Amino acid sequence: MTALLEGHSVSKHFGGLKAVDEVDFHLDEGEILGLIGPNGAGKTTLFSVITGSIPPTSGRVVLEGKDIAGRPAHRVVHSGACRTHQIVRPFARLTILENVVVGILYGRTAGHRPKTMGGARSEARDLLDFVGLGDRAASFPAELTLAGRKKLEVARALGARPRVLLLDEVVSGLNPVETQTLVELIRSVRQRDMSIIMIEHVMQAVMGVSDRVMVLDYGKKIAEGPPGQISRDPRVIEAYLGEEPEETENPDDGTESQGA
Amino acid sequence: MRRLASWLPEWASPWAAAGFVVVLVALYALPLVVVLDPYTHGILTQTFMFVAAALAWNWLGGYVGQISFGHAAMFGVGGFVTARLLLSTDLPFFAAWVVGGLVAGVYGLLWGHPTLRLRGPYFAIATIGVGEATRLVATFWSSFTGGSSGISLPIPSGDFKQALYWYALYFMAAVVLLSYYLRKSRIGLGLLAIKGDVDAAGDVGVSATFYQDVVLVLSGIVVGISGGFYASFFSFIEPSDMFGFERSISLVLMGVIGGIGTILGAALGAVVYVILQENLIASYPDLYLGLYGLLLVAVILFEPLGLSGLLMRGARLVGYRPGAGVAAGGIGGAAATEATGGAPEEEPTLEEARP
Ligand SMILES: Nc1ncnc2c1ncn2[C@@H]1O[C@H](COP(=O)(O)OP(=O)(O)OP(=O)(O)O)[C@@H](O)[C@H]1O
Ligand SMILES: [Mg+2]
Repeated sequence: MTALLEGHSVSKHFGGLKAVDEVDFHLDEGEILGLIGPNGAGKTTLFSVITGSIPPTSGRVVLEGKDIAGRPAHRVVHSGACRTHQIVRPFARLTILENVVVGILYGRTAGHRPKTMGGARSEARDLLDFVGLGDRAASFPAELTLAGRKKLEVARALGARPRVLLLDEVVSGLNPVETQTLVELIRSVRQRDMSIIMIEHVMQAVMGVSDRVMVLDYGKKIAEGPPGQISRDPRVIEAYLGEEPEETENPDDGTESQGA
Repeated sequence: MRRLASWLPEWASPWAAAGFVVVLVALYALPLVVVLDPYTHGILTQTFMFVAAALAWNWLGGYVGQISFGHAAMFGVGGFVTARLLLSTDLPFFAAWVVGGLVAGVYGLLWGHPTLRLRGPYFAIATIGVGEATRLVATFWSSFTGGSSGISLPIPSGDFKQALYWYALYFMAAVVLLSYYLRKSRIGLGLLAIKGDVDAAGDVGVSATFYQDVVLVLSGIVVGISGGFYASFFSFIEPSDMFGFERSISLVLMGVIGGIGTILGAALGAVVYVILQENLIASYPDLYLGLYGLLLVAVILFEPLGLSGLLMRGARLVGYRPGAGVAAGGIGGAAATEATGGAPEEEPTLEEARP
């Protein structure tokens, strides 16, 4: 059986830096794949290549049998893969509801989106209820807490009804209670006939939710397997210990981990 | 009101529609009810035309956030194509305007498709280059534009001048409707997403390339038609006026004075511009450009949303909270946030991560 999403020797170089180096991966129908690795391992870059934000240096990305590598981002979304951003990127001047409406009206191909603005807005309201922002529809993103803005990222991406949802650190930087809500949210997303790749530094979160975990270090895939096996893998432990002892820290996006 | 509302497309507000109809009817009837002196009549006609052009500039500058300093290129192309058609064919004048507009739209696409990938100041600088290059070509291509001496059209009859008032009014009304549609429909939301964050917009399926091209073509067509209308109105055009940098700047000014990104703003901006233009040119022919510069600086420093920003302040004093349509105005960046009571630019910091 072929996978829903496959990568074949995907590489992305920035000048001399091999941010992603010959990575093979696959994601099966209905699966949640955890993607972990120390800071700078190339996780976000791999997402950017998959979703067309940046073209790969080499390699192929195949989604439902179609090669999507190097396609512009909006066409990848229409082919069925949609991402969230590690550093949240809401449309600041649109209301929270309108942010989600953009996902609904633009993320899908013509036949699959609501015909009217009213239809799109009511779908957006449902999605906001689903992620727990139902009462904030008319507010602006800046009025939300970080946890709220991360939920908005998820809701906007869900609006596109992707086959593959790519979540880039939606839990990092949140307190334990918020982390728990978002983990529940991710679990329930799976019921929506979506497969998920999630990048996460918060180990409990990623190990608890993922069916399978893949580990990147210096752009290379160093391990892959069920969560229990990965957390005992000596190469993985070394990669993390070699970097820094605090595996839940994530200074890159200007947030400090509160879940530690 | 409710009966009326059921006729309207769902994105239209019945109050705005009613206001639109009332203003339109009043302006239509004005020359029939009151005897307008030719000067006032002409100023009103020009104002309608500039409102249309300012709105069209605003589609790109305000909705998509791509500030063009080169729209004179399309104004001039529209004007000269129209003038040549009127001189050498039997086309009715409105058909000549439309053809002039279409040619201007195509010309816009020609330079816009490659340059619209640039964002912010880079796009703005590119448009200055395009505008100036077009002006130079037009000045030297004297077989088409008449060079520095320009071209003259036959002086129209008084009746035709009278009729231009209503043509300009219809044109403006159509452009107001199109502005409203572009703003409120699915397209408008996509344009605002592009303006907010072009990459994030792509990541949820908005094709910035496509929508920016569409908006520039539409904007070029309307500005080109304005140019053609201008030619018919004055019966004489010359490249340095049609294609001049002042012409491009005037459109920027109308947008900025009135409030970038809002429909009412662009319309108000055009009205104020024409009033200032008439009075300043008369009193300070050498100084008026400098005065415009000062005005531009003052607006950007103190009220980035221009006149519509002032109106919103007034509205907030009486407790009205602007919707996103207004909050989305302003020039790119964070400029307009304070004025709209809307959202500051995203700062993914942690200060409020704790419940
Ligand atoms: N646009 C870019 N230009 C140059 N180098 C880049 C670019 N984007 C990422 N890099 C570099 O590529 C490497 C991988 O970065 P990436 O953001 O993918 O890491 P990550 O695994 O997501 O890390 P983190 O856990 O901190 O988010 C880093 O060394 C980073 O500095
Ligand atoms: Mg990252």
